[in-house]
Amino acid sequence: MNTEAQRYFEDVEEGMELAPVTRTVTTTQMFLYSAVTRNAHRIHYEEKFAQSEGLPKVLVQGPLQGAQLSAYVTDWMGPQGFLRKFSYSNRGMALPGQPLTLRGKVRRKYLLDGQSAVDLEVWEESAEGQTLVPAQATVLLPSRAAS
Amino acid sequence: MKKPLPVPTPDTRPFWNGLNEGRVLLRHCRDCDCVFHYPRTVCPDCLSSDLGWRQASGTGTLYTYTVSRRPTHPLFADEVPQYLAVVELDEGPRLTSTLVNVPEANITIGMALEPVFERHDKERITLLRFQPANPELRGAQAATQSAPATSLLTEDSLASIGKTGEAIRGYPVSVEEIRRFCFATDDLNPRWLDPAASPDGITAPPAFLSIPFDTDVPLAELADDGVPLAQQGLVFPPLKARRKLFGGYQVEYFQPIRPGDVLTRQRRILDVHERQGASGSSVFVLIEATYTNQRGEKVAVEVNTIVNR
Amino acid sequence: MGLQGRAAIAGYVELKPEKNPQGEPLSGIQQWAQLAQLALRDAGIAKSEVDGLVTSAVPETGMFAPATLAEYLGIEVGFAEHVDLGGASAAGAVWRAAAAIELGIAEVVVCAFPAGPLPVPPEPKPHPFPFGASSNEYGSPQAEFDIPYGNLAQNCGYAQIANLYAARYGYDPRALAKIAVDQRTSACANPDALFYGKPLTIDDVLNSPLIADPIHLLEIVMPVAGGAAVVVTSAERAARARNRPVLVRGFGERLAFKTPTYARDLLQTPIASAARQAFAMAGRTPAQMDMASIYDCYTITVLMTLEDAGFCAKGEGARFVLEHDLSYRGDFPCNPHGGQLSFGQTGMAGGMHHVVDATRQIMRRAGANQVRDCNRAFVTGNGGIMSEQVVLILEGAA
Repeated sequence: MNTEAQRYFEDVEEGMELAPVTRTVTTTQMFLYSAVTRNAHRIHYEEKFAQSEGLPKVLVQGPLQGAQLSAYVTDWMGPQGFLRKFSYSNRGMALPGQPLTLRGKVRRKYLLDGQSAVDLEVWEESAEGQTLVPAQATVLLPSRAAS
Repeated sequence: MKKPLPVPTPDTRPFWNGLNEGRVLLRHCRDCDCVFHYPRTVCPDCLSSDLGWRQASGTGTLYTYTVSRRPTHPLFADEVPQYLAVVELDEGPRLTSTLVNVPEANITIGMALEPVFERHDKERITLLRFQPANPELRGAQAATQSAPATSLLTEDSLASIGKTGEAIRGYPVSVEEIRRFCFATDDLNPRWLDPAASPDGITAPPAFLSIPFDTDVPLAELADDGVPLAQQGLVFPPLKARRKLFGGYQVEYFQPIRPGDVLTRQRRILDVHERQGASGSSVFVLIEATYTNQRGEKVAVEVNTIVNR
Repeated sequence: MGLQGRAAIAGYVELKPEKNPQGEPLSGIQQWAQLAQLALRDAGIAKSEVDGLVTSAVPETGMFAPATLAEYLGIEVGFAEHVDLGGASAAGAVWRAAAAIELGIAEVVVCAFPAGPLPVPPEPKPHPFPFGASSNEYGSPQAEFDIPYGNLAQNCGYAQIANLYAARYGYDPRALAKIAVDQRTSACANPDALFYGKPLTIDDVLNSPLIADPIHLLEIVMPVAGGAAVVVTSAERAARARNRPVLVRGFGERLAFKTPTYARDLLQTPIASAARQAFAMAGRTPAQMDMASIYDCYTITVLMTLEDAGFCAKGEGARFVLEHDLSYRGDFPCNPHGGQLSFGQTGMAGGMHHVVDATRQIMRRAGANQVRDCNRAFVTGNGGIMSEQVVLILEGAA
């Protein structure tokens, strides 16, 4: 998925959809993510604790979902693209073992401070189609005209 | 998982539409002249399908109830103590509901009740709750529930806007830490992992930004839930809220992050504002963080939104 | 009408309840097979004689559970039932087995109810019942009219019954607490019970936290792992088996609602008509019972059952409890092994606890907990929120 050729500004059209990718966060991945973020919050690895906080089980780290969407965008834009802006919010919780699908759409292409920019709407949804993490990204893409 | 709301089916939709308009509709059987709830496609008295709708008074009496001191499901933890009621409408049918605007001591079986329509505008659903028909039994709670909820702000909350925290230096960005982050997020883009992939060598994935500031904390400085008791460089307004929820994140990147970079982060209270909703007051706190590198270049500016309840 | 007492329980197994079970978990199918093996061994009946089975839901096989079990056990059956009556399923299984035997369509029927922990699959799935006994599926009345109000979980329904009872007949919390205390006395003589060696007083119960008014923590069962099974066979075959045959003399089964909101009268439980039918079928009266094993998920369940089954008049339950010693050595032995309140509630096997409880007594295998001269037992199964009721009248062969 990371071997795609460079995406150029000219190749992008508004309304174009990004190829969906489905990922399942495992408790193993959650462990690694808690480790790299030095996050000892028991809500992410202790089922009984998570339940005492009113959750059905341990909760996937919200920023991990954000990072997955961020990577979804950087994969799409190609090696010379630059992620300029990114925002997301965690609207629904995600649980380990639950298939999560990342999707996206090109909203707008335009010039931002003289650079060719593309606005994307990306999101993570559950198998039931519920949007769990809505996100927006602005990427700078190389232009064929410039190269 | 969100707190479940009803999902109407074609045969029950008129009931829910009625509640949206502030009316309680009951199914009426034209064959045996009974009214019943919940709506069904056949009459539970005579199995006829010749059914219409009748508007009920909406008033009734308390058939039975309990006060649940433990949440009946984790999703209802915010409603504890739950006043779980069975209400008998004046027309006869019973329905499941909860009591609102009533102090516990005033609840008695047989008490007269009137409907409270609790609107969930976004989902276009109205839940039917009940309160004492006698306003004197509603107690002081009624005032706080029907009027806007009490503010969670203190005098100093708004004054804290613009306050900045101490500038903190993160640990140096390394190839190894980038790799660890990429593996944990399952992001195997060669740009972040393979020095040969790009003429400029390795860069960190954008989401790596805050990682150098996630520092290790001695066990004794972690609270019971595993979260550090104090965080370096944090600024936060004083509030009367009890729970913090992550509300959203936005970031603008200006420079790539590379191995060897040493980033500095400074936080600032960007905004504090309160919103009143159906479930009470929420205070939105926006914390901005500016990241610069060792050359003084601005690398990124991020804003975290924290919802306080 | 009804059974002629020509079918009998010939053997049983009840696993020791465990709060934190150790060892490798078995699948529901594997547990079923293990229970069948142990119960048949107890009866001294060969597997080759089995020609009927009754089960409740089997976690690994949402559909075709009986066929899957028959295949796994290597048996061909002429009678296969899947009973879906919650805590009343086990008692419901026993009368169905007895009926099949009296009809002559089966000779040896295994009724097994596993309740052990299940192995965690390599890729865990979301819990199949996120709202417990209330279905949140689209189109389910509970999803639409109960769950959004938080009206779910068993505690609140039973508490609503108890509060309504209090408003109509008055409520003596000490009498309700005494039910738990007397059963604890029995559990303290039963080393298998979860609360063996932990005596209890009325004040202990009343000082435990209120969970859903007026129900205290110690008036609620504690869920544990376990499993239980019985072998039902013809009276003739049972007479040639290893234990004293326990004849199934009468039964009654009633259900009319799922959510208590829709009960016609929440205080006239379905037990009343189920018990009436069972006693009439057996040709017995409540006074002729030597013991009772009453489904006791909550203390209020026992009180309501005592009244509605006719052991005392409506509204007199509290006085009845205070005037009698309900322990195994008392004048009205009720749940003489501790009941689910003190033995532990082994999930779907909890209903089978009461069947086994009575069987063990009538077979005179109850050891320290043996009720003297115990020949006739009143047994109940209770599913949902007093919404599904099964009554059995069991009697030892002469």
